[in-house]
Amino acid sequence: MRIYVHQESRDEAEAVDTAGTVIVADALGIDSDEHVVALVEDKDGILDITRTLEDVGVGDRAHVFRGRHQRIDVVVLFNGERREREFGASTRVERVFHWATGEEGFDLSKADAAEHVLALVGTNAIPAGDVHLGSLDAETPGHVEFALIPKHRYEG
Amino acid sequence: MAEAGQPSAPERLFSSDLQAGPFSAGADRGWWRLQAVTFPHAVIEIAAAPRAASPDWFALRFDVHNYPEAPSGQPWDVVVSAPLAPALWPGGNERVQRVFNPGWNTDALYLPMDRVALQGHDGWLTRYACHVWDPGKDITQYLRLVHELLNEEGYTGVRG
Repeated sequence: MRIYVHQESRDEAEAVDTAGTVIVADALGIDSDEHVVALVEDKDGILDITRTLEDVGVGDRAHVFRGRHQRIDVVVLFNGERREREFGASTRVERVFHWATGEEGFDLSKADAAEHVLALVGTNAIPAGDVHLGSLDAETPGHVEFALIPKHRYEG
Repeated sequence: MAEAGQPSAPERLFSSDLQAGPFSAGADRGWWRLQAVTFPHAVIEIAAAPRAASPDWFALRFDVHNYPEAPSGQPWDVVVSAPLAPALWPGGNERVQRVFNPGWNTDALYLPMDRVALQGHDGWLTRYACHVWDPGKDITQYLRLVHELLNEEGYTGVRG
């Protein structure tokens, strides 16, 4: 089977060909003395890395995050206002966008939301929707700050 | 230069990237699928949001002869193996129409990821820096951008 492993400081997943009977730590390359947690994409619970992939419910084509933090504190800036909340480290940027543009965030209309995108404060990089939050906190461990900005129109 | 019968360095790298995590993950998520590779060309289909009288997939024929330098992507008709008729190009709001613009060029997309579009647009290197082709990454950076366009509210289906 194949799983996709997301890590800190990498915005692209690594494909790992393995078997369901392999121990999670071995499949994810986690040493016994490392302080690293593993989470399934968009799930909050930490995996028991001493058990096998099939024991903890990691199936073929699953996406898993490995990193130092289970939770990431997220701030989103828009029009001089800010919204803040915690997410699991394996949460995709796409889910943060839906929260930020939704009722609990800045409550944008569907049309307005479609005209915006999340950019990282500081670098202005626009991470893809499937990047895990835990892959974006290299400079500010446990914390990611976004700005909600208009999408580009390529012109000129 | 590659020896006779041996794949060139660009071909080897491109083939390797098609097997790697980012391309495989996107294919597994249903975002794109490889149609054919006849180096230096590769036809890759990209999933589009459902729209009336419009296909579920749009194909691009990439020219990757100098990979990992920027490729160019030409809308492609996989049924007849020919450039896609302009009436069948994706349409939508201003942002979508700027990118899928057969009036500008039928051989490429008007994107900072595209080699043809980048020519003569030096200003894009700074203005759209986050969407300029990065030779340190793979073909999925181009595919992601197109997939996002074909799945946003502003995409309305084929131009007609």
